[in-house]
Amino acid sequence: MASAGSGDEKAAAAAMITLISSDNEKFEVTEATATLSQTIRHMIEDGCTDGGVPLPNVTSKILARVIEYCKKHATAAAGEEGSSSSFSDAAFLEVDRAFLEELEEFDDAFLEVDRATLFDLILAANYLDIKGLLNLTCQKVADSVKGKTPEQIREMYNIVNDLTPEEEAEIRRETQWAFE
Amino acid sequence: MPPEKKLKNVPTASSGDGIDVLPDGVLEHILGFLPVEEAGRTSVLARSWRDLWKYATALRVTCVIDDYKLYSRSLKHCRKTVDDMLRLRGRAPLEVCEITFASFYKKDQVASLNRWVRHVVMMCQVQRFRVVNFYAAEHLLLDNLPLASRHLTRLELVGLWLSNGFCDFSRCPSLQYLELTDCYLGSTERLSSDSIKWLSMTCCRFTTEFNTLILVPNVVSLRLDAHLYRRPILGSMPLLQEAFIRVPCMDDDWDCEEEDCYSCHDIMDDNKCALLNGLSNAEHLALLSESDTFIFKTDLKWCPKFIKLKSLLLNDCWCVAPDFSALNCILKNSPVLEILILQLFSKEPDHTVEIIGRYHPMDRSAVISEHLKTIKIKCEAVDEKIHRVLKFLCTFNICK
Repeated sequence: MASAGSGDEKAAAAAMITLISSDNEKFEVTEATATLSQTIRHMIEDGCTDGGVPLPNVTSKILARVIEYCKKHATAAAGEEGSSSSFSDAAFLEVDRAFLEELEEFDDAFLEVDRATLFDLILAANYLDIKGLLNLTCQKVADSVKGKTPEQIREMYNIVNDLTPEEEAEIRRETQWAFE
Repeated sequence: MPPEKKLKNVPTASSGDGIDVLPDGVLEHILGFLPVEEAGRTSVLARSWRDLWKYATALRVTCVIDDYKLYSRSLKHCRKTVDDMLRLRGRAPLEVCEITFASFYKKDQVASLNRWVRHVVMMCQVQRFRVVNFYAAEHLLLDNLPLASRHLTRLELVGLWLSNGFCDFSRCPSLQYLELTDCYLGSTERLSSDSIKWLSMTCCRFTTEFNTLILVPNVVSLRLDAHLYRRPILGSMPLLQEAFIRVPCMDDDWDCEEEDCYSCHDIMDDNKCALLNGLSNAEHLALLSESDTFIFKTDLKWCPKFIKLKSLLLNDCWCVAPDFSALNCILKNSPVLEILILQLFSKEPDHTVEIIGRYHPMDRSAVISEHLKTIKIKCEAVDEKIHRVLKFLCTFNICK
């Protein structure tokens, strides 16, 4: 890795993108890292990234974490839609398997955050259109409500039940199959 | 919830513990990760949640009855549930759908499943669709009609019986990835698509009547693993980069009764080069046969030139003493080969020995690729059989 690094850096230096967080902090990232975000990819394609990309919806704290995710996943992105999966046990891809495990460990550790940070990461992933990060974080929220009753979910996520008993009964009738 | 934390989060608009900071689009995405019943239950959380589940971007449906005694009634109920649910969602578009079912034998049960498949593909315009027959051995017959959708990009089918009409994917111009597992292509004369780039068929059974044609001219990655009965004929694949072909060995206690099953009986009914010809553009190729008989034999008589082949994985069926004709043939027809891996007398996880060979730079053989850099032999132990292979490789000046 280290020996290959200098060459890669040289090639990438020409294509560095500056991202500017809502609190005006600047982050230099490679184009490969930045284009995991479809939003930024489109901006690059339209040629409007000179002078930096302002991201008024993302704080520096969250942006730093998003970039950490993108850096790790940028190398894996190329083969995502199947080319690697169809060869999972072919001998020439042993290296990839180890890398995928490493990626999974990274993702698990990445999700060790408090709820407010998790929601901010979701909002950032949604805004920047980073599919992998959005799926990862949304899956985490879905897992947290799995097997819970509506009452437990309301309590967990501060949801105020504003339905009248009649309305609730009507909805339960309509979606009866979900409650059996 | 520690109260001080809650206070700290109040000032910033985007930060908070309440799930209501997330826009509806995101909540709909989250609901897609839940089984549909659980997603449906969120309709009573609050007024704003009432219809969210109907717009969930993914739909995960399971219709598997574990309890045999309750089977008939429960299955009927389960089917009604899915029908009701699909009616309520209507045409709301889907990115992902997964349907898992089991023990659908009767005509009306099969009809239900077919109706759901069409609804999800045609009405909900699903992009990535997976249909799993939980007891894969009991194939369920899908309607003999092609799917038509401009939105479908990925289709994964497990344990289904596919007929000729269904395997015509020309009306799905965005379909790029097709994965068939434990499927039966009993009456399929041809499987065709101009858009598919990744095709994977694992443990699929073809018919014994004729050779199924696989016409996927834009495929870049092909996997044909453990297919049975008549071998398929592969059409031209000029963009192919990698292919993995493995022909299985039958269990000893299950005697294959199909006399025409080429993987068991090595019966060749024609003189065509059925498999190898289509693979001649591959850059990376794995050709494995677990049967005692060498199934690529007929093909090798018409062995094409693998003009782009860079890495090649073979197993012991290619390395038969004394003349090693098969190995000899494919090496001679691979002029730019760089990596050769031989997996000998052992299967994937069991290799304990790895021998790295070198192609002697000073004294290169005229018949094989001058680009060959890496030769690896993977085996369990270096015994007499391995020695014979090593000795043969020495004739090409490939040494340890």
